[in-house]
Amino acid sequence: MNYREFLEQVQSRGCFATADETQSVVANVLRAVAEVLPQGQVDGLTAQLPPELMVYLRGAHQEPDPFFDSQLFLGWVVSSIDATGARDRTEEGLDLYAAYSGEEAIRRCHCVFAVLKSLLEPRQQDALIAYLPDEVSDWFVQA
Amino acid sequence: MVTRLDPKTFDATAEITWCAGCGDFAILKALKLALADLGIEPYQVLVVSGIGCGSKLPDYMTINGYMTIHGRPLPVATAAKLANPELHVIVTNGDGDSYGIGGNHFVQTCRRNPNITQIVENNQIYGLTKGQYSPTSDKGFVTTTSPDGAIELAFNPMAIAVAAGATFVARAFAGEPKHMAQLIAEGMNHRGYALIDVLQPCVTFNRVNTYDWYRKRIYHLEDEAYDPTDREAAWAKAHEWEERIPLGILYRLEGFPTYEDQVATLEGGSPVSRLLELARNPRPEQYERLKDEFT
Amino acid sequence: MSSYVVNDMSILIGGDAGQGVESGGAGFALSFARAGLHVFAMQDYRSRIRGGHNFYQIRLSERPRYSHSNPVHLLLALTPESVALHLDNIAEGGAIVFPDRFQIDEAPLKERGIRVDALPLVRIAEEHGNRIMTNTAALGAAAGIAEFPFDYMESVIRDNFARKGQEVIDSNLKVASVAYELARRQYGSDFPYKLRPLPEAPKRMLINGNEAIAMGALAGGCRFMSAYPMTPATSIIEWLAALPREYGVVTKHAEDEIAAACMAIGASYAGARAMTATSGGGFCLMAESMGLAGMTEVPLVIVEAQRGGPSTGLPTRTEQSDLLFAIHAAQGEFPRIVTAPGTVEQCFEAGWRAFNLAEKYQCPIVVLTDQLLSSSLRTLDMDAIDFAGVKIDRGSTLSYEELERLSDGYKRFEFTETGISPRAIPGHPKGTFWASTDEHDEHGHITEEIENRRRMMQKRMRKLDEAEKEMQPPSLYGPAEADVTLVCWGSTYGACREAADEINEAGGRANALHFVDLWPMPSQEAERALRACKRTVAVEQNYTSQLARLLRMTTGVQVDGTLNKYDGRPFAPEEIVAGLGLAESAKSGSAARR
Repeated sequence: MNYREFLEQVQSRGCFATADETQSVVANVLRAVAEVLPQGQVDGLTAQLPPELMVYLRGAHQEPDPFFDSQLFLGWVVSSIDATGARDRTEEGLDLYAAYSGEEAIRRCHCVFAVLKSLLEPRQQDALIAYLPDEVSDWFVQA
Repeated sequence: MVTRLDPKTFDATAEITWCAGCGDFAILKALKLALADLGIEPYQVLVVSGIGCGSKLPDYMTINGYMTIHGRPLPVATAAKLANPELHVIVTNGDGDSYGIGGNHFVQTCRRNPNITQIVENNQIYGLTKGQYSPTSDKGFVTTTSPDGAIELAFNPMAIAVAAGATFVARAFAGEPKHMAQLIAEGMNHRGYALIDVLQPCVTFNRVNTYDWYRKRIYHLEDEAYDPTDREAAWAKAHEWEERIPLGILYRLEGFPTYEDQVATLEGGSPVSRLLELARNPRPEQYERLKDEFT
Repeated sequence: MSSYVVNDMSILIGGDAGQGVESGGAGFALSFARAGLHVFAMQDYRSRIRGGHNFYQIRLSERPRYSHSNPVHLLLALTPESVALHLDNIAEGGAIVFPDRFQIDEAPLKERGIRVDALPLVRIAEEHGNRIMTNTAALGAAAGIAEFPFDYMESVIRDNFARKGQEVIDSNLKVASVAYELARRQYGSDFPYKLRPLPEAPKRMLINGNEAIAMGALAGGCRFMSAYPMTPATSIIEWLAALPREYGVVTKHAEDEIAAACMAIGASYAGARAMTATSGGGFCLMAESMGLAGMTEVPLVIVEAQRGGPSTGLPTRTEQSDLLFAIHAAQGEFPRIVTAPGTVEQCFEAGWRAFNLAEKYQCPIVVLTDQLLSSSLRTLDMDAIDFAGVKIDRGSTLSYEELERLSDGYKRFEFTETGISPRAIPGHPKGTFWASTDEHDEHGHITEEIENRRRMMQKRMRKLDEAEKEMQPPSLYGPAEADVTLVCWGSTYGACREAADEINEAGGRANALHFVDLWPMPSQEAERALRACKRTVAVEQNYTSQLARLLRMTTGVQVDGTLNKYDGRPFAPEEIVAGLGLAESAKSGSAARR
């Protein structure tokens, strides 16, 4: 699968409006993965993933932060959601986007993880699951 | 010999109202880790906050929590420490709370050097009121109250802290909880006022300073041959921002007396302990001699 | 001279700021106190360091006096302006003492029977010491013509200048005694007002309201005070800061009044008895903090020493215009207590009682005084300040033992019948708690839940009902039956009391109904007391008759008239007596404006 196909699959699964938005989603999910996957493990994926995706994993650390949890992971992913920004679109005190951004972020993870899984062998998937924070690994398995 | 605690000791049951992915989750976690590591029990801790998203933090931990009014946790915390120096006193508040409305108290605290630790949840925006610019927003940042871009230069807490004489000036990133926890622990071990400014993405309202934005710029002073006791160097580092943002301890001065060290009247006991004693044993005769000055 | 008036006079010292009117006057007043006389001393000064007229007025008597009195009998004028400003306030038979180099038009004075006693005061000062000792010369001259034994002045001069060295003491003594002798020889026999010591009198203190509050606070266990300097409250923190170290009082001159109030709250939250003191402008800045304390149920003592407003107003002058502000300051509704001592003794009591009330009801308390009470001096018998009578009552503050016995889940804001929840001091393993300015549940956790909100609001406000039970009803001074009742609060007690005495001595029937505890108003007793009066006149140092309005709000009773003074100068008893005839009915809603 090449990069364009990867994006098309993610876009179709997630019903994202544009290729640009999809690219943003993929970038942020993979950058989040780069926060938890040690550099050594990332190198092992070079053969499976298109080079454009490897770029997003470039920020991997020698030793990831052991306390990086699902909330931080979501934080990276939420950045791609077109939330209210400077406008207050609250309804009954709830910001519409913030109220559901968590769920939306998980959904986006599912989309990217599903396509990612299709590129990885089971052994590689298990290795990845081992490094993902709790809950995030669940999303990966469910994807 | 410090007995480490289980960080879960500090967990609380209150429903957390932060947005999914908010950097405050990591700050909360880092603070629990630091306290657990230092072996400090929940009842020995006082966390004072102001108003804002981040200021709800004490509500989400099991410690003595005091959520006060906007901009004012520093004087409350400073005096609580003076009244009972046994308490470990921590202030958690946001950039608006600390550097805007609380700006005067912030500068005074830097020169006052009370033995407290302040963690500023710096997301460069006003979150709770839904997205206005803050003192640390970069010049040109567009929000509803800065439709043409923020006009003022951003408040530089690191520089101002160094200039005002703060004895422990550090910066962390919410995306690195382990590093943050280490800095918080160092700050708490520091005798004197410790400032840890935490760069913390507001995932809902700040579309500019995202996790990725910070990740591209931050670097660790520990990885360079950096001497945090060099105030000139700290001043220079404090002004790095656009392309490179230094994390870690920018400045540290040990051995400088704390404010409490220099309050002579604390020597025989604290206001709290003295009152407990007076309530048991008032000894009214101790005041009679004071009448002489009026005769 | 056929007959003298002994030990019943007022002396006024007038001059430019910087000439030592206040310091000299205070020392002079002390010499009379040491001689066993009763003293009431009042200052009048401007918001300047140098220049501008100021004066010191001392009233002397053989019985306790609660107010200054006009006219005066002896004017010591250190500037020609002082003569012009005060010559209408000198009694027949009185005298003016002044440096002979002043050009004074003596004719109108002599016509009124006032003695014009020129003396070479400046020359004496320059010859035996220094020109700046002119005030000492004037005081010496005053003692001379009143034939008051020099020893008492001498003892005060020795004490006051002790730190400046023997030479300074000696030259001041020389200046004073030369002026004393000259004045006595030249003018003594002619001057009808004499001052004689009373050796049998007990030892007394000469003390002002601020000092009394500070002493009361200290005795009441206050060991933390934060404040921002503001006239006329500053001397409270200065007195506590100057205490010997072993009393252990931590004082903090904060960066502003907001910090001052928040620090007091922080210290109190941690379990200390903490206070702050300010005037109206500073209290404005503390308004939000009142809410912080009220909502988080932290005891807080704020002394508000009122001065002339609005805004910067008359910084060194007196007024009573913050009553309704003190009762209502801060958004929303929460319990607070407001009390306004009227005398120095009441200031001492307020000093320690405020902490008991604050801790018992876990709320803020405002102790309202004013510039007059803060800085005027009165003689008090030593045992009027009774330290043994001070009680430290911490209400529902949990002791260590009580905390030990707690079962799990301490609730700082537990719903109780009185609304007062047991209060833990942070630092005990079983007493960990949250407190929040957001609405909160019994644990202190933030919640907007409807039922909890109702109950928590009721809980807090119930404390106000509880406090009302122990608010002191107004006190009546004078005969139980009277034709006119002077209704007053705070420091106007002094002038009202003296005015009632004057009316009664002249054959009339007057009394004074004095309020100290103002909020929560002990409304039943207040109503009863008011309805028992024939004719009520509210005497207040403000424009809008704030006590009268408060009484109407809480009791439904409208006073019959009002006497208002808002020129920054304290009521003299004579003014009240004269004004009574002119006091209009307040029923239409417009008070008499004077």
